[in-house]
This record gives sequence, structure tokens and C-alpha cells, in this order.
Amino acid sequence: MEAKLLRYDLIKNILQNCNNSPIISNLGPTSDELWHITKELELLPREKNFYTYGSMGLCSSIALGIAINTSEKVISIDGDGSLLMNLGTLSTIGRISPENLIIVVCDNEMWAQTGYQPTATAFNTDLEKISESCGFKNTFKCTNINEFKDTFNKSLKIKGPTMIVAKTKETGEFPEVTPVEPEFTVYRFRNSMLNNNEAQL
Amino acid sequence: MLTQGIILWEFKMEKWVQIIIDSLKEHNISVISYVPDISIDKVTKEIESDPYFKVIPATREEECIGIASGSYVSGVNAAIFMQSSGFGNCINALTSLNIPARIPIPIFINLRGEIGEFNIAQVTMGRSTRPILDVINIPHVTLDNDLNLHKKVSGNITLCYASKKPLAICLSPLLHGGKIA
Repeated sequence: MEAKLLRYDLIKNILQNCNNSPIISNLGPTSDELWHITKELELLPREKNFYTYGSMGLCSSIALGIAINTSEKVISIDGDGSLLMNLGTLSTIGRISPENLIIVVCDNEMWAQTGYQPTATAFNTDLEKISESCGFKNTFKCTNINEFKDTFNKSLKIKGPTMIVAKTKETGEFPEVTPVEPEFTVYRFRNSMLNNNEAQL
Repeated sequence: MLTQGIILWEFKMEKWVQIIIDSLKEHNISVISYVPDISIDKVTKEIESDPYFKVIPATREEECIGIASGSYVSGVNAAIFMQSSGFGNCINALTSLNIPARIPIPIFINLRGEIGEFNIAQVTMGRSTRPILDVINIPHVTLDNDLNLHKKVSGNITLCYASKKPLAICLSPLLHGGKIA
């Protein structure tokens, strides 16, 4: 399947369409690009951006933990290498079945940042089929930006959990690291969720 | 009279179980993620049947860390239950998420490899759990008797949120009787 989708365009589309939904981003280029695109769109400081810096594999587990406590749509921007490290979380999400959780996997079929080594999705593993068998209500696969735009907009309107496997390609360029301390990310994100729930800080 | 006494005995929660549940509620901890363990099944079963709690059984202990952290950052306190073998599965999550981002989670760990252990495969991780907690600078307390139990559980959960980092509450077979092979 030829991928024509850039992670940059995908993240930009998510930011432009998801209103104020919480976004949890996978470590590395995904979190870095999220910050840079948020800046480009003049949306900084977007308090509902949750950048991760380590804990590889846990992006969608963190999103699940958030989704169970809010009625807002919660968006996890995960990666194939990371999700393959913690496939069990798809079973747990299927079991808990949060209607408001959307997972977008940037599936470039490789560990790009460590030297472009191919992952199992370059061979036989199909993350869309795995999600379907785990009990995700909706599963999609996209290979170009128009397909992604339609799918993502549709996902915002339907009951999940929803899995969108976006086949992305690499440009060889990585942006600078997100200049936000993890501690500050958590402090800001949590306060925004508490205010949202009309709770006292 | 005798029949009533027996029924009362059967339905009475063990003291340590009651204290853990009360302490969780005192600290508004309403989300629990766990991977099961037979010795602490008494607590997790009570939690499962109590509508106060939202419970997420996970496939792996590392996943519990992600779920509980997500819950905390969305404004709802969360705790984790696991056994010491599973603690080995979540060290990187603790050191690369909870410690740098300062996300407090009380973690209840049943210690294997203690008195009465019958399985060699459980010994090394069980006996290494507390030294590893020391190395990664996560405070811990071990519950091995009923003395000051409420202070030890609730007081350490207070410390956990004050220090904004995970804290381990280790459970010994001297407290709960251990695993019956």
C-alpha cells in the first residue's frame, strides 16, 4: 500500500478540526511536530496538548486513563513501533470500550528515529484488523490526506472506540524537541481538565 | 446464636483489606488499574464490587502505569495493584513518565520471594523489588502486621501526593498469609 500521507499534514488536520479536545502525542517526532504545528497555527499555549517524552508504548494507555474521566473526545496520536510494544492495551480498550476515544496511529512501518529499521507492520501485522478483533467499534485505514480528513471528521461524530491507521511516509526531517518540560505539561494539562470539570484546584 | 456468629465472621472484611479501601476513599482515589494476584485478590475483589471505584484490569503492569497516569492528569486520583514480578515490567514507565513529569501514583505491590515462597522463579524479582525502588528513588513502606496500619497506608498516600511521585506500598505474606500452593 503506497503511503502518501505526511505526519505533519495529519497532525495539522487534527488540530484544525478537533476544537479543544485533549490530544496525547507519542514520544519523539510526533510530540515535537505537535508543538511546532500548534505554534504555526497560533494555538499556543494549547493546554490540552499532552506531549510524552518517554514511556514508549503508553501513549494510548494514557489516553484511555483520560477518556474514562471525561465526556470530551480524547485523541491519541500513536506510532506503529510504540503500539507494537504494548498491543495489550488494544485489548484493554476493547474491553472498557470508551465511546470518546480516538486512536490515530502514524504507521510508517518503521522505527524512523533510530535509523529507519522496518517494524512488523511492514510485513504481516495489520493494526486495523487487530483493533477490530479487540472490539473497537470503528476501524479505518487511510493512505492520503483527503481520506484522512474525511475519516477523522467522521470519527469526531460517531461513538468509539475508534482506530484510524494512517499509512505515513518519512521526509527524513525531524523538528527540534518540544521546548516544554514534562512537569509543566502535566501541571497545565491537569489544571485545564480540572477547570473543565468545574472542580477546585 | 452460633449460626449468626459464623455468618458475621464470613462477611467481615479482614482488617488490612478494610484499611486499604478506607484509605483509598479518604484520598479520593476512585480509579484502580490492576493485574491480579491471589494474595491481594481479597482487596481487588472488594474494589471490583464497590461502585465507588472505576476498575480497569490491564494486560501488563506497565499499562497500569499509563492508565493511572492518564487518570491523574485528567483530575482523578488513581492507584495500582500488582505483584512484584509485574513491578519488573514497569520500571521504565515509572522512570520516564512519572518521575520526570511528577505524576503521583500509590502502587500496592504484593511481595513474592518472602517467607513461604515455593517458586524459584518468583524469588529474584520479589527480593529485588525494594532495592530497585531505592535505586530509582521511589519511597516505599512494607506492611507486615496490623500495627499502625491505617497510619502506614493513609499517611504514605498523603506523602505520595505531597511529593508528586509514585510511592510503593509493599504487602508481605506476614500481613495476608501469602499464596497457598
